Amino acid sequence: MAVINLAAYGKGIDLLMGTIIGICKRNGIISHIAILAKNVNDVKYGNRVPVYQMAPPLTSSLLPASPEIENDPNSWNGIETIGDMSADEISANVIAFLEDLSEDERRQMRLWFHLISPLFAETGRPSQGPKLRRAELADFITNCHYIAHPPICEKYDFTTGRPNNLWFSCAGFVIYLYEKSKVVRELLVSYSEPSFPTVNRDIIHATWFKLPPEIMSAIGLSGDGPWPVVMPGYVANAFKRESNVIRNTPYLPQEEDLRIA
Amino acid sequence: MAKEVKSTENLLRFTTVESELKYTPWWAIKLPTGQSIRTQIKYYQKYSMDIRDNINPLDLPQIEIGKIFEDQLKSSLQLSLDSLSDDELFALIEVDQSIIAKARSLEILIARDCENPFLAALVYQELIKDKLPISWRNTLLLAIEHIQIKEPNLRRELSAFLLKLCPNIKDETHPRSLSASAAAVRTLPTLLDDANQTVQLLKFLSTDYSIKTRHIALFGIRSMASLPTPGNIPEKIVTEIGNELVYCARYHLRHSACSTSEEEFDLGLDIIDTLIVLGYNAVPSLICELETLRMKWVIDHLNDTLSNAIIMWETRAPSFHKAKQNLITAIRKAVDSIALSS
Repeated sequence: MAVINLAAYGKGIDLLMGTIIGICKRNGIISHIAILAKNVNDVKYGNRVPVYQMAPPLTSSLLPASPEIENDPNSWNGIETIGDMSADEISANVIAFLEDLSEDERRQMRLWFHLISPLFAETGRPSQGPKLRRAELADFITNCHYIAHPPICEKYDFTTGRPNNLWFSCAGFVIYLYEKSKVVRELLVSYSEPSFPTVNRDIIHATWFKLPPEIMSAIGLSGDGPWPVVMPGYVANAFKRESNVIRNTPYLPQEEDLRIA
Repeated sequence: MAKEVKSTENLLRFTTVESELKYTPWWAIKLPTGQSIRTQIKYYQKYSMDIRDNINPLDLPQIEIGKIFEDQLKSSLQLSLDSLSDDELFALIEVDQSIIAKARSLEILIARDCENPFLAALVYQELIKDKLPISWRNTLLLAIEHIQIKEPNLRRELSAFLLKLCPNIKDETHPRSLSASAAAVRTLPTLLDDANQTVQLLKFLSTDYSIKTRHIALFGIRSMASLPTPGNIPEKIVTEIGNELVYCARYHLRHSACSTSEEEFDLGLDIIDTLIVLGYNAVPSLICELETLRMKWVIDHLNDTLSNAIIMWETRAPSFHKAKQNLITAIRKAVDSIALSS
């Protein structure tokens, strides 16, 4: 099985670029996932590792640092991160991986990251600090092109119809990179399928934190729900199958897949 | 002028009213929540300056104090500005001296209605002002990509302005200038209505620009020349663009071999992707020529790019697809040949 809860694993593990890294909340729900950006040895539960992620925003410690804006006294965009997430490193709580992920496939993933990251709106890199105020968070999410549902969304210019931006959830970003680099054909069954599980407001709150309506709306969760949101845990649990099945057969998430069994 | 600061907790105990501000030491200032925005900004400007001028490096808590101070301002400004009408926010952007308040007002207006035609006009009018503070100009450039600009004249004028402005700001040292320049380059393809103007984006492929900006320019070229209608620009212009791209691809793919820079290699590959999507006739010979491409994952990538391009041509421009049959065969052969030699 290629999904490991590091809390139960008890010892260090060597991880290769491309491994999926998950953050668990105390309730066991996986609240965030990302892709390990480079090989790291002896990773234990809670160690911080470099990742490609839509946290928001999309960042990587391996890209040249974009000019920091914290020093700009007039900037309003030097906004702090949410909870545990910093610009480019997250705590490894859960890992999921393909045991036969090749070096070529890893290279393709890095290529795709380089190809898509310029499409993101400029928001500056978040720094650690106090949690955001409600209105700031809503603005931040709007600016940094984070969306919870649908997981992947292309935006088009109104007049010319030309695509100009990509929006992702954390899970959507991981799926996009795995699918674009042809590592998997289709990781999950489409969220538009009737059999895809839905989540209500309580589950959303338990996964992230209690989100006020304006933020729910800003991330694509308008109305009362439930919504067929692609949750981070679904992606991690898709890796509990055999490699050839992961690569070729989309996984239909189950309600219990919010957590690692 | 050193100030005694006992602890940041002391700060929180102060609740200062306007009349007392004059006599209150800078480290004890608490912004007057509930006062007019102008008053708050005035205090912010005055006391920011005081903090800067009077800071003593030995006063360690000053950093925390500065943060608390700024948080207070943000908090009170946020509440105050949110309650203003659109007209009041417009007026504030036009006449106020505080960039922090202007920027916040702009964000609120965008969040309220990014398609507001007056908002687009205002941003342009602000951008073309003389002696604009760099920080405010960068904020405007970063804001543009969040605003829908529909009015044809405004689109034309703004795109001309951005094309002229971007080369001038690429070397600036201001912390947000690179991001602002990248945002402007990303916005340009959505403003240029005529696909023949794609050539205007070539200048951003120069090594004077960051790799990120060059990726953005390539995306813009692909987007303008091929999406949503492939083959919508004259062959003469495709050739002009293609010749320039071939030069850039050679440079980056060869240079990446010496520098072992993955990013530079990926940029070179992005250029070849673009040439394929454009249906540029000389791309097969370029693929054969570049030895650095002879890797399995690159071959897989090129095959995918070609397959995706074919699907796009078939569905969006069948006549273009038909005209490019020989090219498709030639690219396939070129990729096969490097596969054999890899």
